[in-house]
Amino acid sequence: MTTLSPDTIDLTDCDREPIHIPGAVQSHGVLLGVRPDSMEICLASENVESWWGRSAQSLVGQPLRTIMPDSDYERFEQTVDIHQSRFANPLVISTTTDKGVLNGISHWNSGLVVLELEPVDIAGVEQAQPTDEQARRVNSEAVDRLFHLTMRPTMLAAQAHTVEDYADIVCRELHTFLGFDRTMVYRFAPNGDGEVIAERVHPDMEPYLGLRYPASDIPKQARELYRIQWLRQVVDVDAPSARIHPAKNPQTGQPLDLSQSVLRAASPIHLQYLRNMGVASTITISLIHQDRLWGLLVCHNKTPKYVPYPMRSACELLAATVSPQFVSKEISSQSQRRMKRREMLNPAVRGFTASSRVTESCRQQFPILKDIFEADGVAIVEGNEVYCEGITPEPGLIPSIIADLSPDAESGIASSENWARRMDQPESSVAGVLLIELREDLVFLAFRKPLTQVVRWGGDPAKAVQKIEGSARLAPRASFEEFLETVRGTSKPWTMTDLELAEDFQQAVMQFVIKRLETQAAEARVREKLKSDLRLSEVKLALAFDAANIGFWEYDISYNQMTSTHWLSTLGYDEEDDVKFERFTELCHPEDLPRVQEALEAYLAGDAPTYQQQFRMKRREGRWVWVESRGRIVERTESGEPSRIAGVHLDIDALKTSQERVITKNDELQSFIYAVSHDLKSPLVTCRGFLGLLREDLDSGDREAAEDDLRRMEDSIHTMSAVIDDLLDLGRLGRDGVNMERTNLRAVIEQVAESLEEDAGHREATILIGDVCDSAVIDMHASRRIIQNLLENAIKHACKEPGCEIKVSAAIENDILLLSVSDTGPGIRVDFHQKIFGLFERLDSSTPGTGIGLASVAKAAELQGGTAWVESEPGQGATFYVRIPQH
Amino acid sequence: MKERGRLIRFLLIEDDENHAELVRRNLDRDRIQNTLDRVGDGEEALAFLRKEPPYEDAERPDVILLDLKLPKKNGLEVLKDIKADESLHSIPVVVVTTSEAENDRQRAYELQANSYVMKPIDFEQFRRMVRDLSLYWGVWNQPPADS
Repeated sequence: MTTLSPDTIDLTDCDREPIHIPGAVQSHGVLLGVRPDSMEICLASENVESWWGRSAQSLVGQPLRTIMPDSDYERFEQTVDIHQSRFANPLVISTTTDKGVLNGISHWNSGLVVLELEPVDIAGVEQAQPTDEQARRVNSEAVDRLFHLTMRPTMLAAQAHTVEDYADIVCRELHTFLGFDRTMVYRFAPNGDGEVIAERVHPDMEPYLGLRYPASDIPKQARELYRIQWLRQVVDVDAPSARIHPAKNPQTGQPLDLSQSVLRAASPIHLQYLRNMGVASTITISLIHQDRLWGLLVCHNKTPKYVPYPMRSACELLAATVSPQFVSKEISSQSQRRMKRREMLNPAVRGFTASSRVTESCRQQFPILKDIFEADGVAIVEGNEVYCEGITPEPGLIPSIIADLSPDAESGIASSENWARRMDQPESSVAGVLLIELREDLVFLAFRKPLTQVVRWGGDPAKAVQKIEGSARLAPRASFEEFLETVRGTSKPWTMTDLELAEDFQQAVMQFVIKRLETQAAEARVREKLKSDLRLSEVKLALAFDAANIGFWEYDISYNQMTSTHWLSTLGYDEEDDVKFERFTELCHPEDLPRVQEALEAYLAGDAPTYQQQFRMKRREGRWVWVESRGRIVERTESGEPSRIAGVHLDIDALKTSQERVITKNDELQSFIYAVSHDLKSPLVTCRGFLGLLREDLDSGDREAAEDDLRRMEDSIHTMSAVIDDLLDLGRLGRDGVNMERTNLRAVIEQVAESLEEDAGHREATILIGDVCDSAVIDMHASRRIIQNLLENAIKHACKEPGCEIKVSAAIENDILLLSVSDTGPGIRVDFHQKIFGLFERLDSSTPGTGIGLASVAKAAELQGGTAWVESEPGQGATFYVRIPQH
Repeated sequence: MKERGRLIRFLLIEDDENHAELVRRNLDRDRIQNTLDRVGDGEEALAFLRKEPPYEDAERPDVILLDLKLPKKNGLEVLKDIKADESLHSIPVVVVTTSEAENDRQRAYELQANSYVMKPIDFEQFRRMVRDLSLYWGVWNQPPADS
């Protein structure tokens, strides 16, 4: 036995108080110790004196039968005779005292039979003597109610989904059954703290529902007693207790162990505790499952209240029935909750994205993680970075928390319910910390607030603090103070579930990280492959661009900068640095530029679906070349404005030139056909017309007119054949290709001149051969056509008056052959100088001609890479020139 | 309809003497009283219409028959000048040509030619064309008051 000294009292003294051997019983009953062999009384509570008028000392050593009727004694003796098992409690015993019939409750204790006698009825404390009959009736009624008490909670169990719902049902039944002012269901947390989870209370009394009590409120040895003895009763806190005489069991020499006693005097601390709460009487029933104290059913009464043995037994039976239900309800609701939390875990980790850091992903999942760990705040710490959400300590403090908790190296998990107290941070908003190392240098933390519920005790807390002077007795209020202190820095505890979830979370993140690393490695391989492919295609592209003379360009709109100069190099420039957009506008043909700029702006503004334009650009050597530009927006600003456009320049000059040539040729052909058809149709109209008129003239016998008709028909037929001949000549030009070779030009000129001498003679004109070089590089047929046509033209149009002179000259200067035919005719007006070279163009319809001769000259000159033109002024004659390059 | 007995005055702008003769002789046979002036190229035509030398005494025509293929100044240029000339633009101009070129027809109408007819090769058709032209332009057509 421990001795307590007033000076050394602290709260843990409670744990040392020897409550199982108080050496006294409550005074509403008497305790007798009986030797089983002799059936002599060897122990007696002092209050026997007030029952039998004999002191405890005087009863010790007396046979038991001296204090009860023989019949009762014999019944009792029979129960004792039976081997040392339980007694058939209660045994109704009539005493020889004024207490009348009593319930006798016996148990074996250290070789003794302990017989406790207590009143039969509820009002037993004050009751007048009940008869034997009455006592039995009371007991049997109690059995009926017992049935209801125990069956109803069992039948209603299915309706309760949670522990609390079920506790409420049990509480209600017990409250009705016993009729105390307050009935509570009290549950122990794993750390020993208690919580009121159901309550029925008299309206005058303060409700305790939801309150928590520190483990120290119910000391360890009290709990032990609760396990052994399922029901304790304190009938009146203020009633004096009755000491047991002698103090030690003569059989053992030790104080009598009252663990199984129904009358055991309560601990003075407990009594004080009850008084502080304004409670006069109490019953406490243990809820035990598989030898573990799960909770208590607690009843309080403001006034003293006695519950007789059968009803107490009923309560014990109730407790035995409901205890497993409580445990199973708790387990199922815990596992449901655990399952729910675990179910949240997988989606949370699945929500991690491969593209962002684990820290980032955790931050995104903070709300879910908070729910999973039933935390008030969470944080993630990577190196020096600390991110918090919800209720957390100052971020600056978090590294020191991690250091303080120093997680287990193997699991990487640590937890604390009272971090704030440990770290001496009493004002901290956070008390509980759960630390999970996700990987090296990456820590996840969940935080819980301190529990804020304050236990409200009856009475004034300030006055309630008591330390009894000179006595080794504790005042429960001290416990309360301490509890407030404890509660201030303590959170809801981290349960096994929390720790399991922590482990699951840790593993899920690790798996995610590993998986991501694998993915990243695979991606890196693919990227590397792509990179080398890209390099290869860049090279290929560059080669292709060069080969096709495609210019690549990029235009950074915001900086007005063209960031690729490849398009410049295709134009023969060697500018290397980035150039301003103006460089492009400089080089673009001024006729095309406005159209190009308009098209570009329309595309950038989104008005045109594409940008594709053909325009001319100036090459370095000054030549204009046609390019086709195509571009596409490749970058936009955040607001969606185009900021960069890239494209290509295709050199389409050759295409464009040949296209133009085809168009020109086509146009030429078209007008040639029309002209031919006109000039052939025209004589036909004349022919048919005068043929018609000829018939009429013949009919009317007008011979003169008929002659005229015939002459006109002949003329037009002649014209037609001339046109056809000249057209054939024109057509023959160049048909067999152009054969430029050194030729005896003089001989050609002389031959032609000679062949036309007769024609000239008709007009009294002379053909002269002036300075003529001997030879030149020419196509002989084409040059012959030129000379012939020019001479014929001069004879027809210039030689209208007699004595006209026509002179042919030819000279080579600067590698160019200049051939000329001049005449002394009327000359040609300047505005006709070009026109006359056109097909079927004639200046005078009164002179014969087909309008093909000079067109042939122009074509023949062109075939030899040269040109033809005329220089003349009216009245001054005319000189036709043909210029043929010699190389 | 025009006042009976009034003379319809044609101006034929035609370089081909034979064609001109064909027109003239067909008009002669017509019951509609008419007179025909003829010029051989574009420049002469404008001089005639503007009464420039040597055409000071030229009469303003009621209808102009215009060939397109003309020396010096082609028919389309003449048409353009006529239609641009305030004093001449109300005179109906009928293009009479052998040209089948789409361009020519297009251009002629753009330049406000009043009509465009092809010279038929067939003699009877040629005759009917001349007769219909004189009937339409000389009888049915109502020119504006100032002409």
